[in-house]
Amino acid sequence: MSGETLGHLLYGLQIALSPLNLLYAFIGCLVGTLIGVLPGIGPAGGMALLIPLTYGKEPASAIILLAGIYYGAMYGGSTTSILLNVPGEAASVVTTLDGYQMARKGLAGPALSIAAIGSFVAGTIGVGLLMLIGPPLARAALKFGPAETFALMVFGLSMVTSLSGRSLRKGLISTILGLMLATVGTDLPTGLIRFTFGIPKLMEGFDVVVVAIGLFAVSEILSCAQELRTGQYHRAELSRIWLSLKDLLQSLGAILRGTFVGFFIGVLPGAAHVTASFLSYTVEKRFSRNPENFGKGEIRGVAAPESANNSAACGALIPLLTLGLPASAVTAVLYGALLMVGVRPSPFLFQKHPDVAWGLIGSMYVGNLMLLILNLPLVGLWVRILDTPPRWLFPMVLAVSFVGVYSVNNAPLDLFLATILGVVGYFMRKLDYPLAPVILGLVLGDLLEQALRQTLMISGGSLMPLIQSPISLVLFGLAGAVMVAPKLIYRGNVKLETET
Amino acid sequence: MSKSKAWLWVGICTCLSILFCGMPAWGAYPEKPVEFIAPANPGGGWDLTCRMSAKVLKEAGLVTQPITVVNKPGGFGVVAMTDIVRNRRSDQHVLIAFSAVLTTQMAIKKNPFTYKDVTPVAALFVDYGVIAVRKDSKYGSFQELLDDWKKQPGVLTFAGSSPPGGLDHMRVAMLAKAAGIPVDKVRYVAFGGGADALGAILGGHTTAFVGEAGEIAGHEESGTIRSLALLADRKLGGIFQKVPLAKDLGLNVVSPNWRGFYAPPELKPDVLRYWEETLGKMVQSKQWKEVLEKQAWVDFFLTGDKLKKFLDEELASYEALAMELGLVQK
Repeated sequence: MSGETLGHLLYGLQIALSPLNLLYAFIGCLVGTLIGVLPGIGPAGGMALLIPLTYGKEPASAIILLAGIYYGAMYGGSTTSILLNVPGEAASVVTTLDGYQMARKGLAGPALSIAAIGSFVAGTIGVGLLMLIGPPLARAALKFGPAETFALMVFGLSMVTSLSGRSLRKGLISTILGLMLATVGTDLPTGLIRFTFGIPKLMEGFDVVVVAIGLFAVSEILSCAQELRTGQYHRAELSRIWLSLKDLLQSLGAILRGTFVGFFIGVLPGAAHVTASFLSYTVEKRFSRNPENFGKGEIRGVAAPESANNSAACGALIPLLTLGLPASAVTAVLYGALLMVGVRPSPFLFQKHPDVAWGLIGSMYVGNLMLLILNLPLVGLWVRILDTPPRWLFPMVLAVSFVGVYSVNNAPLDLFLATILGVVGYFMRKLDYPLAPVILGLVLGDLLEQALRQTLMISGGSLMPLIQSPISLVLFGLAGAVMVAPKLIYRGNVKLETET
Repeated sequence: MSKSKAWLWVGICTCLSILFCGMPAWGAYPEKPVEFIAPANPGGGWDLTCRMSAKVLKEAGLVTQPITVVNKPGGFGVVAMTDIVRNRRSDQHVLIAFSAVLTTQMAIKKNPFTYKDVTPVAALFVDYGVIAVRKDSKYGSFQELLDDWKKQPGVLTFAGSSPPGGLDHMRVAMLAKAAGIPVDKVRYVAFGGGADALGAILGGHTTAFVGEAGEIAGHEESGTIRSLALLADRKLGGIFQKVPLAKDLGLNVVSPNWRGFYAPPELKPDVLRYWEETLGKMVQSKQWKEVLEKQAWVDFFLTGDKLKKFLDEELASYEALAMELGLVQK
């Protein structure tokens, strides 16, 4: 780190550590944790609600408060995914895969703890990277035009292989279902309205949170209700609350890999958090010596995506801070909030408003520490929820899920959709179709189609630009490797096992 | 008290309470919190219109009741308008942001409802159209871009944030028409928002950016992009001082995007008058003038018949243009 950066950082910490800004960072982190814990209203909605609080404040205080909500929500997001199989936002869908299985085995405590620790490490390293290599990285990210974004989305979809369980065919069918759901709504490149059946609400398409809660939470409740009725339901016996040193050592590599994957994906345009968390999970499963443990309560399957979505939050701030471009829904709110307090985001934010830019960076170091201190003791409290007898627990989970669904758009229709999707999810489970690929398809489908058509608009109908860019070629290559590699790797592993 | 007398009292009280419920409270309007709906996600133009207005109305002490800003995105304003027309017809405590985007969408027959189905309250300001390129683009002036565009009309690409047929597309089409370039050769690429479109020109993926001055103010100021021409009828001050007008460069194209508020269809006349007066005071305030300057917005306050006449004229001109572009069937 150069002396100049160090000086700036000290200046930023000085701003962040002023009593008032400490208070704002704390409020932001607290509210963010709550927003993350409660499914439904995501960080963008939560921040928009609190914008009026920032009126008349110093610009630095305003952004410290709002950014606190953002990364705070990334911490809290794992809680309901792990405990109740209710993914509060799209990025924590992957966390349900192993997190909820750990909870069913009585390991909810370690799962929540590793999520908090992973988030802390990723958040802290993420801010460090943001500070050190932000500007060159932002310029590199601009190379991602429509053609490169298309390739990135194809690569993203190839990750379905790590989510498919035994049958890749079933995984692909699930992905296609997600891609089909993605086509509902207003089509951006033409403005045409597709598959809405005259329902105005569907013009904005399926909301990911509604689909995630319907597919995961509602269907889980249906399954559990059936198990209860037939007497097959086993309540999770709490085996231990705290993380063991072994758990921590096991997850360390996953946390670090998740951090870097998340950070670099976060800088790129389009669905950063979702791609980051799915990709980090894929990386873990691919490089694991026991890939068959994933989906059954593997702690690395929780550590990696939870780290990735926190460092993705840092990465996503880079285009806003260094280029003045809000590349995601959340940073668009921050962009609006900065305008409201009289700061015009531009490529010269660091030079023109050093108090805002460095104050924010300083506050993120402090905020991450606050969140760790805030979240670790809560683990003991959260796991108690699972002591609730099932006949009280499930109605409660259903209520939390529906409140979450309703809070997304305040639309009664969403409750109906979530219920239908819950039934669909129930049958998909029964028939052994994986659910996570549906979310992957839904999130990436929109961007995939948009990017392809923008590419065609620019090229005048030629598909050549898709393979002319080296970035796209690398991404297509990686996608192919991810699709083909599991067979080779699994085969290798099987051989190893039989030999020893 | 006899039983019958008691019943009489109950009856009187019931009648009175029903009577008072139906009447507005004795205090002046608004006697309860007001809602501003931004029919889009946070951070965009509609959202800023609502939030900036709410902020100035509070700071200047013009509205004492709380004002909450609610985002209701979808279908370029259609989802919010449908909700208002169907479910909140007589709500007296809600204003919804609108802009030229609605008239252009009406012109291409994308909306089930039009401004005629609601109560337009006021237009507040305009944000003028602009054509810009990346700072290291080979086009140093609008004339250079135009010469090249005329030579190879199908090669130059314009990135904007509205859907095809929307305002940004129409801007490019109007320029093409004025320059004698066939409008069906225009290559317009729709992005999900102003930021994405800007990213596309900064990354060199499209030739030029078409959008509004307010969207690129920060970038113009820092010199990462170069504004070639403003689609305005007057010079803008501040950072856009040196940017020429398209009409001074020989293409008579003026494309403002005005923004303002509408209210539900069954708005009471005195409530309408209240908002016309209050918003009239707001645009006069010192705080509002500061907002305008910072955002590169230009004052454009219209209410009542003038507003209706303006909307009718604008719709007619966009309809004619949409027809010419082949965006609607006859």
